[in-house]
Formats: sequence, C-alpha cells, structure tokens
Amino acid sequence: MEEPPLREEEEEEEGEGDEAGPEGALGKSPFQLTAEDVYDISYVMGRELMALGSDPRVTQLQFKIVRVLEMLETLVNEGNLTVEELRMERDNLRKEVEGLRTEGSAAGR
Amino acid sequence: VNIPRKEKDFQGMLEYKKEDEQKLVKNLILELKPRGVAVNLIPGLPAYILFMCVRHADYLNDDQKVRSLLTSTINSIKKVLKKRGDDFETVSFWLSNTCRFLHCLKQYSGEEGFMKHNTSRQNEHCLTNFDLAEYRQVLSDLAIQIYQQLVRVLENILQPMIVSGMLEHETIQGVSGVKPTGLRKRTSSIADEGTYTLDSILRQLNSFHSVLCQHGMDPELIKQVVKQMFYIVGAVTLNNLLLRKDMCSWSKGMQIRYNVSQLEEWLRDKNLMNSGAKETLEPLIQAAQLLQVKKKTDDDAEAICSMCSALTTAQIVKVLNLYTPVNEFEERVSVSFIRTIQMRLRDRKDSPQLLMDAKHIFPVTFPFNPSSLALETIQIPASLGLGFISRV
Repeated sequence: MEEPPLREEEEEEEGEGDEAGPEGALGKSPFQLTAEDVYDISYVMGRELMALGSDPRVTQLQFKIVRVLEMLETLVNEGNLTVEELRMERDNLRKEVEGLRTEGSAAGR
Repeated sequence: VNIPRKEKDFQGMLEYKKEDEQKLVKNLILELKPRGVAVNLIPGLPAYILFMCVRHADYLNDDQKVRSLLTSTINSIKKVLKKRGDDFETVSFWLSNTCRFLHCLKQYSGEEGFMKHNTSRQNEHCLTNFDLAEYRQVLSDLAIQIYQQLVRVLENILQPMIVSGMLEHETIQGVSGVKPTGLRKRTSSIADEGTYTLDSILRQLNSFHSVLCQHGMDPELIKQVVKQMFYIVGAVTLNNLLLRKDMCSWSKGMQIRYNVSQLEEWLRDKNLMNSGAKETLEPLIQAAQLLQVKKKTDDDAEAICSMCSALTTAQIVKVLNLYTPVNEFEERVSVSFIRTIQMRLRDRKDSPQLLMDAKHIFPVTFPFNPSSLALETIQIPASLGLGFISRV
C-alpha cells in the first residue's frame, strides 16, 4: 500500500517493449506505428540487406529503402501530430458547445 | 528537358567547402541522434562518411584540411560525450562509430598489414598523400576513454538491481526456513512490488545487448562489455554476501546457483559463452557451493580447500564464520573446523583480500575489424541534412 506504484508501471512498459522487440514492429497495425518502430524495422532490414553481401545493386536498393523509411518516419511523426492537433481542436470546440448550451439553458429558464 | 544519363561512377569520396566544416560536424556528430532510420539501417554510417571526407582532403593533398577535419571530429565527439555522457545509447553509439572510423583509417591506410581482406576496389581507395598513424593513436585513446565511460554508465544502471535481484528476491519458494525479518514484507507477492528481481537484471542485460548490436559494435568489443557487466554483477553480489550474515545460508547458496544458471543461460542464448563472462562469476559460484557443502569432517575440509580455488582464504573463512543454519537438521560451523581449513590453506600464497574491487575495469582492446562495405556505393541519406556535401 505504502509502496509508490511508479516502478511497477515502468516494469510493465519495459516488458511490453521486450515482447515486441525489433521484429515485433512489423506485426503492428500501421496506425499504431511510432518512430521507434520505424527505427526497429530499419535495423532489422539493414541486417538482412547486409547479409546479402556488398553487391552494388544491393547497396542501391539499400539507399532507396533508407529513403522509403525516411518517408515513413515523417508520415508517422506528422500523422500523429496532425491527429493530436485535430483532437485538441475538437475537444475545445466540444467544450465550447457545452458551455454555450448550459449558458443557453440557464438563460432560457 | 531531362536527358537520362548513365549514373556517374563515383570514387567513394565526399567533398565539402572548407567554410562548411563546422556545419558538417554539427549535423554529423553534435546533433546526430543515435537512433534514426539511416544510422539504424547502415550502422557506422557517420564513420564511413567522415572517412570519405578525409579521403577527398587527402586526394586534394590539402594537409590543412585533413588536420582541421580530424581535429574537429575528435573535439566534437568529446563534446557530445561531455553533454550526454550519462546516456547509454549515446555513449554506445559513439564508441562504435569511433571504432569504425579507426578501422577505416587502418583498412585504407595503404599499409599492407591492414589490406589483407580488402577487395582490389577497396585497395584503390587507400589514402595516397598522408600517413595518419599519429591520429589513429589519438583516436584509439579516445575509444578507450569512451569505453570506460560506457562501463561507468552501465554500472550505475546495474548497481541498484544487483543485491535485490541476485540475493534478496526469492525465486525458489519454500526452501528458506527463515521467515522474513524486520523491514521485509510478509508475503512474497507484495515483496515483489517495487523491488528488482533477477528478471529485471536479465531484461536490463537484454536491453544493453540489443543497443550494442543495433549500433553495429564490433562483436569482439561486445564480448568485452558483457564480460565487464558479468564481473560487476558477480563482484557486487559476492561482496554483499561477505558483509551480511543473513545472506550466508544453505538456501541462499541454492538461490545464487539458480540465478547464476539463468545468467549462463542468457550467455548461451546470445552466443557469448566464449566471452570470458562466465569465468568472472567463478568466485561467486564457489561461494554459493561453499554455502551448500557439508562442513564437518576433515574430508569436508579437504574438499572445500580444493573446490574454492577462486576464493581467498579470508573470503572462505568469512563465509564459514557468517554461515547460519537454516533448520534444526544443520549445525553451526565449529571453530575447530574453521581452524582446520585455515591450517590447510596456510601454504597458499594468496592475497589477504576480503572484498572484490567492484570498480575494476578489464583493459579493453580494439582488434582490427575490416569491413566489406564498398565506399563508392555510399549515398548520403536526406535525413542527415548534409545536402551541402557532394559525392566525388
């Protein structure tokens, strides 16, 4: 009871992270993706590309994949930001509507 | 009209204007995040890019530019480590990139000893004008410094977990006849909350190991880091055993052996059985065995003396003195038994040392590790913000 619950939460989070791991990111829904997941995917793919050897065609592909992942990273970051902005805007409007409603009903009485 | 042109054949060099040097080290070193798409996909990328810049300055025969770039590189790495030197990821990232830069300077030095594994194309990429052996020495010293910093960081993270996870937390139910005393909580489910367990330690080791791998750290270097981590775990655990009466019982011996076997399992899992990490646990393993063996007859005494080769006489005697019987079927270790042990060990030339030096750092080495990467195929990812440098 007297124990602060903080650490327990921390450990749970860590545990989940471990379960997912670098490979786990590819199993996620695209809408749940974070930048960290993109970095994990990047590492996994990098390792697999490296295993193919240093054929120039592989390297060319490698840098195209870097570009694609950079784009994905931006989309994930910006996407989350936009959603967050819109959500805040919506909540503000909702509050305003509620405020006006209570005001209106108070005045009508 | 865009006329399609055959891609130019690059020579694997990078050119920048002298006045852009500060911008270069700012984007490539000072403000580069250790986690990102480009550096994760191509571990060591900053080191390769820096080396390709050195190559062009060498190609221009511009000693001023070479010196200035190398100095800025070294100073910037130091600056990053001063600012974010308590962050494991940052330190690991720059340790691995400093090593890679050093490997590049060797691999492409033009010295035959370093060219054995090169392709003929790689041999064409060797420096032609300057001998950078002195800079290699400076970089190697820097790498040693970064390594020591890495060990300090991981020690600070592990330290608070060790006693709790290795000694206090009970993983085997029902063997300790002793009831929890004093401040300890009564039921084990509550005791688990807010304390570190062996699992916390294993999870921490996993997280360290995966960061090192993601940064493309040399496998030989990873082994040394792991050996150092295991030494810290072993030394801190043993020291606490030697200082606390309530830790010297048959059941604690059992507990420790179980925990050690889990750590060994971790090494096996990560293919690190040849890292020397397991051997650093030997004193702790022997102390745990000492808690479990019979301690009565002359034969028992002899067995103990031949078993505990990694413990000093002082440590053996201390454990026997602290030993607390768990139940009525066991007896306290008699004074005469301890005397017998002392007599037998008299001829051993050992140190009077009781506690292990938990801050000890094994000297690190950086064996040459050439790479098969072809410099002429390297491109500069846009996310690095290095649009002002061009491929040559």
